[in-house]
Amino acid sequence: MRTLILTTAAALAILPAASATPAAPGPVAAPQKKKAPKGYHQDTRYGFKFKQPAKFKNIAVRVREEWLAAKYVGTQQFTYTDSKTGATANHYPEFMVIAMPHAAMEDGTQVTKDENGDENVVKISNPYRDYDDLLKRTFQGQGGFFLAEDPVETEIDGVSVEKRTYRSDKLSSAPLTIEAWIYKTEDVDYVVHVIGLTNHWDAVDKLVTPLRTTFELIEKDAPLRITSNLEAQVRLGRLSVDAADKREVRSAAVKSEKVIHEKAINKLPDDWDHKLSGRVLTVYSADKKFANRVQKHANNLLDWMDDNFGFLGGSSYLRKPVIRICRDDAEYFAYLAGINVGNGGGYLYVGEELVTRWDSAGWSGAAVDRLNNQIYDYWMQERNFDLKTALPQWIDTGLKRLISYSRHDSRKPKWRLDANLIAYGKGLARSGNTVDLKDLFTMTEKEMNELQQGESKPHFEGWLLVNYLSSPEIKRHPLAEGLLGTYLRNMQTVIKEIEKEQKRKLDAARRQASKGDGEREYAALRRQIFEKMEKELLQRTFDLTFSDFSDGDWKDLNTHFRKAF
Amino acid sequence: MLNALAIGTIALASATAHPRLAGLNAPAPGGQGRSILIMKDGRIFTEFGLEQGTDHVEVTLEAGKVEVANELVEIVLKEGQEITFTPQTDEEREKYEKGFVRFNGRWIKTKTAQRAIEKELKSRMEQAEEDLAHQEWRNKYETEAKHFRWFHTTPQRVTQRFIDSSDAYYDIFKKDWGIKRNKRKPKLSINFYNAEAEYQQVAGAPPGALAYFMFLGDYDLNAFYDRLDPDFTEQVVFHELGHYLHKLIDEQFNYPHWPGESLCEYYGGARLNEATGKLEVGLIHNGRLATIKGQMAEGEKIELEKMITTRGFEDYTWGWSFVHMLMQDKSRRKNFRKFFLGLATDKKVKRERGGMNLKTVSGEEVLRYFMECMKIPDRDALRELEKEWYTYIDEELDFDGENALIWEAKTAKSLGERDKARDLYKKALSENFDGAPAKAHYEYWRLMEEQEGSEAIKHLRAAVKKAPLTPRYRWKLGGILEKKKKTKEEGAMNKAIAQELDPRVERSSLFD
Repeated sequence: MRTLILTTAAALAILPAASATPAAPGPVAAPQKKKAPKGYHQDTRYGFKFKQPAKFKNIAVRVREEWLAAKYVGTQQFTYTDSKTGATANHYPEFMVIAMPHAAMEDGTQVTKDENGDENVVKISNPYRDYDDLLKRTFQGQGGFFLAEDPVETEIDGVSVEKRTYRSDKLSSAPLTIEAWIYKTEDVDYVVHVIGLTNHWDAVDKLVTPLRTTFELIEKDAPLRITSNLEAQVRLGRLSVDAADKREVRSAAVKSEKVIHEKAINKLPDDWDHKLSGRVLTVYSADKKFANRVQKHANNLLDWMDDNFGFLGGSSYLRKPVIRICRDDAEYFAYLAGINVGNGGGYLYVGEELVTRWDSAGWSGAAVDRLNNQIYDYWMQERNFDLKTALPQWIDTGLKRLISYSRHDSRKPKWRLDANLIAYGKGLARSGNTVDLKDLFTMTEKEMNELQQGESKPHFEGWLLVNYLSSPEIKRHPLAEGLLGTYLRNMQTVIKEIEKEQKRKLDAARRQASKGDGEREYAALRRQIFEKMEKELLQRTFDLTFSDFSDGDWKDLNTHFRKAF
Repeated sequence: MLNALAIGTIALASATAHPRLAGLNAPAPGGQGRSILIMKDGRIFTEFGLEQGTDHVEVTLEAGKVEVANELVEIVLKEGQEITFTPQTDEEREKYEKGFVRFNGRWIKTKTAQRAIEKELKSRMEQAEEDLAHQEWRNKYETEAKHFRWFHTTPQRVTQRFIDSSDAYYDIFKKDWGIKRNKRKPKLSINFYNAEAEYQQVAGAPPGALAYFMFLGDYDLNAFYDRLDPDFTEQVVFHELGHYLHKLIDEQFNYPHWPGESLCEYYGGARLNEATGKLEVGLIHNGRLATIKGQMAEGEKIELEKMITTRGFEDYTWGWSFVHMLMQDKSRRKNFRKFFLGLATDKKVKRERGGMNLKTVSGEEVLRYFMECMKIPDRDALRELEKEWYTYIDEELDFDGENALIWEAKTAKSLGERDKARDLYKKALSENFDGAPAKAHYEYWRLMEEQEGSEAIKHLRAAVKKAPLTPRYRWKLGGILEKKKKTKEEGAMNKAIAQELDPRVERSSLFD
């Protein structure tokens, strides 16, 4: 079931304004859709329809997706068994409809003029030159592939159609066949592509026959326009070279939240629902009871983060995240496999949606742990983007790991012990391969990686340290109590100093990102700059925090830390 | 769309090396047939106008003309061309009047020479067509060699080098280590791709993996031919082959990182002696030596015991040098052989289950068995051996070949030491600017801080001069020249030529 939000504005897509000042997106409206015939998938934005094959489920498309018009995953599982090793792999066939407007394919840039008449060239991320190019860039990680047969040209209802057949049989879990039918019109190429196990291809082909025989192009509501990723992200003023007015940043945040929410809702398939409650918008195909539990948990966790890390200050407005809850694993992985790669969950940048699913391990399982990771990343990025993109990895991961084991769906938060980490720590202590706390605080990622080659495991020790400094145990030691907060505050101070020293580079990064992939790119560039300064950041923070620590104090703290586990 | 393949250097006579055949470029009577340019690096160009000059071939594209030095050209072929001879000396004139010409060191009848040349050119043309027809993976060549099955999109002529050297490697390893292939299993499939882009797409290789050996199920090796560095390609193939050959000792056993990787590196630096058909092993691995010498210069030394018992990158570098020392010493070589084979087969070795349910040996057990086989009684003796090893590196191992500095630079770059790599390239290129390969100039440019100044342009121009039909080099040069008023037109032409050579050059260049 799906509810459309109707507003009074005309445009669905945000118009580009590739200038240094933040764009003010227009209000968004859902298009007036013609009703599809029963059993048909009809899309008047992209301009096609087809009869939905039985045994296939419509999978939601991500907010960032512009090229992907429809995605379906089969409900029937097929199996491949390797005759040499006996290993098996299961696969659900899938098909997608991809629209490739010629204008976007020919030139990956848009040129606009700002109020001074200066030209700004905005690169459209991930423009694809043709279907081959799209496949090369989106099939990554699923194994190698090659064009297995000579392409076949034909004509269907007066439209020139090319059939291309690929095989994937190296470094894939099972040999796959990819068959693409490319409908070539004057302004847009439509690709209907199907993926299935090679050893079951005849059966897969039979299942998708209704799709092939009924696929037809129909009239579009308006000329098809693919917007740039920058528009989809909606700048918040973080990319502005000059310090942005706080009210302006807040206003831009509120507006972008509205755009993202409406986009998320408008792209929902018929069997999805949504609910805005508290600080979270959930869109879900999972069981409603589970969705409500996730929503309550997410709301409380955000409150908890504000209560416990609010001292980190930063942005006053935290955009309500979209949490997408898929019905099961199959839908979840199918959803994440898009053709705009790189959304969400990454260490460097969390996208517009946090994605999870119901999994058979239940509420205490890895799916909710993973959601917590995303909520942590999201909160940090929204509240304090600058700190998040400069924080040394071991601290960031330590905090994330800590929060992943919490559950906030009841009145009081519940915490699960990170048993694996603790067991690991105990093992390290027994073998004498521990790192001194004093050294740990000034160890860079590179140094940790080098040490990790041997018997010591400084990453694990770092995460243990964060765990310890957040635990009730610290109340028993005067030096440990409040130490994490002090340390992070001091780190923030040092970051601001370094920002002044590296202003030229950071400004250049902002300018580059403004013309490129926006915030996502800026996060990566900023991270690179701070990685080069990591030793200095750690040392200066250390000097600020521990200037009055004696050798005896360190020894004491070390002992207490080790004993805590 | 351009048809281009990558193949390596071969020792075939080039038609351009017959100065007497001045009529080779004369247009065919009644009009021009197709022209084919075959490069020594294996690429075949069929769509351009070609004119043979004294020391170069002039290639005419729609975007402009490019001069390609003769030393880069294997042969220029023109369909239907008339073969004529132009005597240069009195003796030749005299013989020519009698109906004879000098051909391949002998005087033969003019008509016979003509027929011989026509036959050779026809054969070359047919082979070029064959190679073009096999450049898509679905139409790949399948070549059965003595010990391996090759699947490749590289032309036959180029692949032969690797086929021969790989067979030679198998032969020598079999002789040295007594391996045996289970004849009920097929020969190892070697998938050899004509360019990195094809390899990454078809083989599904992760970024940074230059080649890989699939050691489960039907064994499978995948590598690509880097036409700008065929020697390095061979090293990479040999390294991966090493893992396969180790497997033949015991297929249920997975060699520990040390000595497995180190022995792969030892043979990785081998070269085929074309005269004898045998593999020369024990050569210097310049890249690895560069890493070790660099670390030693900074006061870093890897402890022998630590190297033997733990897994680390040093197994490729320091480990190689240690194995080199053992293998070059006759009596130690014998004991090391016993050790290496025994790790997999000796009943006295304590093994455990590792990944993929294969047997392996722990670091401590590797050390124990090593000391037993090498007759090292205690830790003190081990430390003495360690000292001997450091001295060996210092005094016995030295760089081989004129491009040693470039090897050092490549190694530094691969280790993320950009500043060091840049300084090494700078030194290498200042000592031998003209003799350095195109890739060295280009890689140096990539590391420069100032990439658009005169120094940068100088190196890009050198790269383009040495590899005039390499799209990426022209694209980058063109991009810089285009920004300057004086060279705007030249820049635009370079970019246009680059795009004509490869319409996707803009996108692939983004990853530089």
